[in-house]
Amino acid sequence: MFGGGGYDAGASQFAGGGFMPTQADQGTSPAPKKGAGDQTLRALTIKQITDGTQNPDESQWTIDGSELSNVTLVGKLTSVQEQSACVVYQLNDGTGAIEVKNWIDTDSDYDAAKKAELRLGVYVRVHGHLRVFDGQKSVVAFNMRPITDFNEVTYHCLQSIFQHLHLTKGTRTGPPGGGSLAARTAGALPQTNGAGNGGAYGGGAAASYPAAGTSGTGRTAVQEEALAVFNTSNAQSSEVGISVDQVVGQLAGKFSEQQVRQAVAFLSDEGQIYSTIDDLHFKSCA
Amino acid sequence: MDVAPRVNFELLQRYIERKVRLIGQVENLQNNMLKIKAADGGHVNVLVKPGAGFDSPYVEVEGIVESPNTIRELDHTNIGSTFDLSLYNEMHTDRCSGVHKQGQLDLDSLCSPARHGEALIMDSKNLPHF
Repeated sequence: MFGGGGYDAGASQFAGGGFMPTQADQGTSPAPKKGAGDQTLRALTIKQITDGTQNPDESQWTIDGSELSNVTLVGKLTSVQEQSACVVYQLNDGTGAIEVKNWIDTDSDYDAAKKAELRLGVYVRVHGHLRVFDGQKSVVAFNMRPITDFNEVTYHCLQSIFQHLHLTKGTRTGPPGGGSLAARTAGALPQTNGAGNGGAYGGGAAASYPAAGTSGTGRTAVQEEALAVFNTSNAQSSEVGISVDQVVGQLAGKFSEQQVRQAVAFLSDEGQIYSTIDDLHFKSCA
Repeated sequence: MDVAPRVNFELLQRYIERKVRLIGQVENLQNNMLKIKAADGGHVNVLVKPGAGFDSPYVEVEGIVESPNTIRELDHTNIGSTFDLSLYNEMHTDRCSGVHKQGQLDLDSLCSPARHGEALIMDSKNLPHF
């Protein structure tokens, strides 16, 4: 009846709550977008960087399952080497050491003043980009400044812990309050970044769905099974589809009648099934 | 491996002869022995490197652990007077809770952010804004 033209049931499977961008070519694996919205700033410890894995196809590094663009680190300068157009530092934060390169403009007084502050043994905050050359990881800094209030070190540790747990385990519960708290305290963590990874991360839009969405579509198990019944060839081939009673009967062992009826109502609201001869007979749209 | 994990007084005993970083409040400096109070309240003796200046109330000491309450200093950083030691302690307990639960030394979980601690959602007004 539909001819596969407009409505593709496959696409809605992946739309899951509105976090993944629905694209026209959703059938193939979507190419990672590197637009401005995907730039992230991650607070990390050096150990996390040395443990990070590289996607062999691209030059993107992955830490905690999330791709990196920019990083921020806090540590002590254990080596300072001045070269013609840059200064190469060794940054050590107790979990490891990494090389940090800071390009400088030799004509600029401002740069010269800043450089003078970054001495051996000084604790600094680095913002930069992770680079790998020949297997050696290093950071190209676009900002470095000495730390004046040591609470910033505590803050950085907390921020690294928080972001790590947030990306690997998701927030505790899914309400919108949790999402905005993450945005406030964890720095520039965009929502799109978090949703792709944490399994339990429901976010705002999906709050009405139970967090244990088995297939990631946002539907519960009973709804999935009911839909599956409607999708069977018997149900599809009949003009009137099948009755709700029949679905209840089919799922009798697993779900109560109440649950099945609720699931059918839900699927109908969603537009997955439509009523035929009366309110008790439905047919799947697929 | 140039690793010196941040520790509290409690963890010193697990790091004998290893390099650690400890932050504490300066209590007393006599000859070459510095007494500091760690974030979890334990008192630590620091064998000071000659020529060092300890002029701020809070200090971070990096050194080798000689006994469960003594560190031989390799380097130190004066932290100033506005450091929130109790917040630092809270950060520690959350991060190290994994080590204590397992009852064994897990250097990995100590050097990297807590793998086993609960999800940390701090009241944002306690954290300095940068």
